[in-house]
Amino acid sequence: MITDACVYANNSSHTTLRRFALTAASCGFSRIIACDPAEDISEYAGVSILKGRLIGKLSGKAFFDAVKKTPAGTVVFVQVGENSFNRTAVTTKGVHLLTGISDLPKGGFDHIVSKMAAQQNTGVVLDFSRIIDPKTRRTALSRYDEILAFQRKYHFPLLIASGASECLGQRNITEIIALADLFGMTEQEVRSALDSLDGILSPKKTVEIVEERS
Amino acid sequence: MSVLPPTLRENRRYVLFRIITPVNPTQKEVYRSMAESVTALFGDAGAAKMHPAVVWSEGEYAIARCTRGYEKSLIAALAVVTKVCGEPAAFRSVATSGTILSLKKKVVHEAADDAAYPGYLCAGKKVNNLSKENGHRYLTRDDIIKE
Repeated sequence: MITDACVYANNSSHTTLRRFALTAASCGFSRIIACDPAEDISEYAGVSILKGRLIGKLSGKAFFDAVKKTPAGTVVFVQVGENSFNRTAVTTKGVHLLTGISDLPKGGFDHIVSKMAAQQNTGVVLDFSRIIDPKTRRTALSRYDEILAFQRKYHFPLLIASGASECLGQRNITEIIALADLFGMTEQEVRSALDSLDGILSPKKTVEIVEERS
Repeated sequence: MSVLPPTLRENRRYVLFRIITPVNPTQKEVYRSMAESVTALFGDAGAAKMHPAVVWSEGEYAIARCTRGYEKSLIAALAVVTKVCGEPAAFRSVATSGTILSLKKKVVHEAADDAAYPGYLCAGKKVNNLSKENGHRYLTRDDIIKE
């Protein structure tokens, strides 16, 4: 399923969750993750809506508590911070995605975090609203270029999010491919990034029961 | 002045895009927004190679022109436009082609339906609340029925 990894349909947004879903459908998406949504809708206009929870930079125990208290079926995002925090976040059970990569200082996301993310099957979200915003564009393009180099080497899951807080911030797949080309991401990589959420939410097990005999 | 033979003419490509904004911008205003974002993304040198221009605009659709091979860059530039005439906006690219005629065939005009819900601007299933009565500006018909 082609997924927009993060839209912010919260109370401060002027766009309803249904309108986000409708716009996503017209942009060619079949699933969106609504971060801290104001409404509880599971599907609209043929687009399935997953709930997401964003956990900010918290200290040790508060972070583990926040992850534990998250209800089942919710996609857990963690806002990246210092290198040591990122290593803890990646290895914590229940964390699905790392976000806020563009705000990191240079070297905040290194080869060790990349290797851990690949081992733990934790995804890294590329927020395209940072490219659209002229103030954060340069930093975002440079960070995403670094992340892409790590991804090509360590093969951790990469996801693409519009990061939109209004429906005007959502972009269609052609535009996403064109924007990703700015930091050297190929069309094939974009398509696999848009389709990689299933691999994170239901990873392949080493042993899988195919048929059960009674 | 003699006309250039077809083999020496610059090859061009055209991009049809939809302008999503509450205001009704003129072709010149659309061009200004597009040119600003082209320069911001690729600089003056990139813009000079790309030759961006808006060649047609009607209602919520417009057609932009560029040099062949720069379509992707033009779509990226259109995608980063966030304002037209100071109002929030989005340029959503619809199709790319070698002729203006084939793009005009892809234009679908959605009839505005103001009568059904006063205070709302309806186009298909999408609704824009002009009065912002309920705090949400962008809704769907189902959101209004729910109220």
